[in-house]
Amino acid sequence: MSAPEGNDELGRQVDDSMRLFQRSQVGPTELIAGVKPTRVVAVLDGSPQDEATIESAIHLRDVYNTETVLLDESPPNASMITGDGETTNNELAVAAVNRISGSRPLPRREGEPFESILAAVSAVDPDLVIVPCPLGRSLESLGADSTGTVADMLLARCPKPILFMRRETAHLQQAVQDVQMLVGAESHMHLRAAGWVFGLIGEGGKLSLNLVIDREHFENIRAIVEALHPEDDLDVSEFSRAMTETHKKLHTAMQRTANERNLSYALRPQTAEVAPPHPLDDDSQNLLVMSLEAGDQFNAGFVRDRLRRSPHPVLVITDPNKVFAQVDQ
Amino acid sequence: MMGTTWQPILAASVEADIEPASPWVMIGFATIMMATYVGVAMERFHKTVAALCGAGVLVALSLFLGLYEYPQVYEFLKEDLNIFGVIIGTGILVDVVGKSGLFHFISMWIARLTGGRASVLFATLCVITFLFVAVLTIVPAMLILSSLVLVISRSLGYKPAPLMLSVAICANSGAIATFASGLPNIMIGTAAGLPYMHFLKVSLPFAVVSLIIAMVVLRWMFRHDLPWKQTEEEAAGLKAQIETFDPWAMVEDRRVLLRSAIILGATVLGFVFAQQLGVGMDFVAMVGATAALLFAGKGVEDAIGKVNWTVILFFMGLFIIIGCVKETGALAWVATQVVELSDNRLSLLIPLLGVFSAVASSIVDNIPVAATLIPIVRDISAGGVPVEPLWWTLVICCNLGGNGTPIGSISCVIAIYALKRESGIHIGWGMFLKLGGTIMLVQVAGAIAYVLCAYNQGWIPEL
Repeated sequence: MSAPEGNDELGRQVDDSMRLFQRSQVGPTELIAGVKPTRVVAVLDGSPQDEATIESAIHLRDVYNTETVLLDESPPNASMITGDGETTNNELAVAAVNRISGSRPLPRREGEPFESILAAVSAVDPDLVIVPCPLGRSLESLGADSTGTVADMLLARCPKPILFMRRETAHLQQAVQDVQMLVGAESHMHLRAAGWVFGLIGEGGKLSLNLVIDREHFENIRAIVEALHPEDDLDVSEFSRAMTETHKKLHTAMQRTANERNLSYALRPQTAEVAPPHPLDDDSQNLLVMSLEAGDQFNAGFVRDRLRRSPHPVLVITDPNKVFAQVDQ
Repeated sequence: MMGTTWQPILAASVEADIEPASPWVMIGFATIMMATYVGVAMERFHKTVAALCGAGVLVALSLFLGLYEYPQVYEFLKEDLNIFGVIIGTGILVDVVGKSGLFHFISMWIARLTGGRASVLFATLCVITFLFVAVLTIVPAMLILSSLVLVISRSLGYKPAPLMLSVAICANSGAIATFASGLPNIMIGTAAGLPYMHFLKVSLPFAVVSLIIAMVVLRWMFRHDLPWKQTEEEAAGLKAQIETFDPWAMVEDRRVLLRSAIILGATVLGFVFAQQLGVGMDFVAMVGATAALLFAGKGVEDAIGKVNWTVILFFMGLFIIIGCVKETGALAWVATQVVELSDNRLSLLIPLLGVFSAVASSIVDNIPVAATLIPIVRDISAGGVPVEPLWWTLVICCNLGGNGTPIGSISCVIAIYALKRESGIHIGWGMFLKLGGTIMLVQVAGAIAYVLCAYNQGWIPEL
């Protein structure tokens, strides 16, 4: 009796099945403890995203009893700058205090908005920073072309996780029912990001681990593989399998934690073209979570790319130690 | 229930509507059919190409000799359209369910429960193989279990060959368990109108018996090849090692896993109750496939592309070949000779059919063997021989014959190929004949005794 569809096909099928079994050899995996924020800095800028920022802060207060420190980063009026470098332009923060219980305003500092925000982060030591993106403008004004200078600078220098608020109607409260963690490459920060995913996700919510294959990244690696082993032909599915293998421990830990907490979980290896986020005009409610290892330029590009395309809130878990060093410099 | 006496029955009259052709035409057509089967067995050509070539030559010859008008070719295929429906439906269903990781998950989960001890692992693998083949058919089940054996035996430091060959041989016992567990069953079940429930009543009990026979012989044959007795300390080490595997790591989406399990379970229930529902197996299979594509499938095109079109084309060629040879009256002539030889006694017909179908299946693919014997069994029964025991003999022996040689069944082909490819272990004909041949002899002898006894006791439901 002959093998089905020839021996090459049979060999490929056996290999695929063996890889799947080998993927299950992950060793002991711990459940992931959810991170619960106790203090947040919420930045207001007078843009339409302010409403989303305030609603998100209210949600965190309601669920985690979070203390909120409000920072007004609307464009300052020169006459409002005081002698000690602070401005009195704090109306937005003061007004929001009435809406968020347990909140307090923080006087803004003179200088660029990102400097002011970083100074507030340094002074308050929050677990999370909520920032409108782009700062001081509506999402439509820049579209998917840019996230603005403030977002770029915060991604480069902020030592704390940042929640970027995008579309004004995309609030954290709804977004936490469908959380998507995006991974573009290996990073020691992923487990930390997963901790935030399990900290923020709503009861009975859906979550996915999206292993995203960037086309350019794939082409670069393929060129290298072909140079090293001319007989090998790396295709997207092989690359996808390799990526799944690389992240099997993270996947298993997330799967087990989701099972334990009765959450819906899915692993989704996918190309960048079909990976989240949805188009900018989409009103789906999702929270995107990514991690950003300091000095990882590929990952930085990946995070910026996904952020500028996203209509959803985007939580970026930054690398605290390395970034602190940059701030100190 | 059927009668329980062994009265000789008068020689069957063969199908009256076929005018026998001249002996030379019969011999010529039968020779071309046999040449095609030899081509299938020798693998000089792809089996599908061999079948299509044989079909093309016989159709051309038939038309040239004026045996029938061309539209008769459609009649050959018309009877078997439902087989194609079952193959397409189950192909899609199994692909979608397989991609959900359900069977990988279950098999690894159960393997972990064994704690890695050789004796428990051996028994568990044999039983899982039986169950998976019963639900999934041989090829997908073997792909999963052969790779499981390779990964587990590497991790635990066992020789892979004893476990792999055990899985391959036990797969052929699983293949006789249900209507949908093997292609010969689907062909014979469809041609004979055997309901799914009858499989559970007649072939499933012997499938279990044949599994036990296989396990006992395998355990004895491999008595020096696996560490059957292990100390508590060794057992603790094995347990720690096998627990490094986490079956959840293979599951990408728990909801899809659950949906796949529900759809598969519902389809199996649909097969069981198809007759009561008044629908065909092909309808149930296609509904199952559609549900899988709707609720559990990620890539519709991909899943449809995984349908085994090679087998479907192989079947088309085969059915046309059988149809052409049947038109010459050659198969009816063979049936007459069999009836005369056996004096139309079931006590001779069953062993004759059982031994022939098993030996032929161990040399040639069991699908052409089943396809050729179906019209012969029909002809034999035309004169009044109870046909039910003959059908069950064919179902059981066609499948178990595959244990006889390393090329006799696809499960053995996959196991031997995977051992060579992944572990560099070559299993020769001599070694396999000693192992599989012994098991086949015991199983086929048991099958013949079982069918005779079941018929005698009135356990075989009447059609």
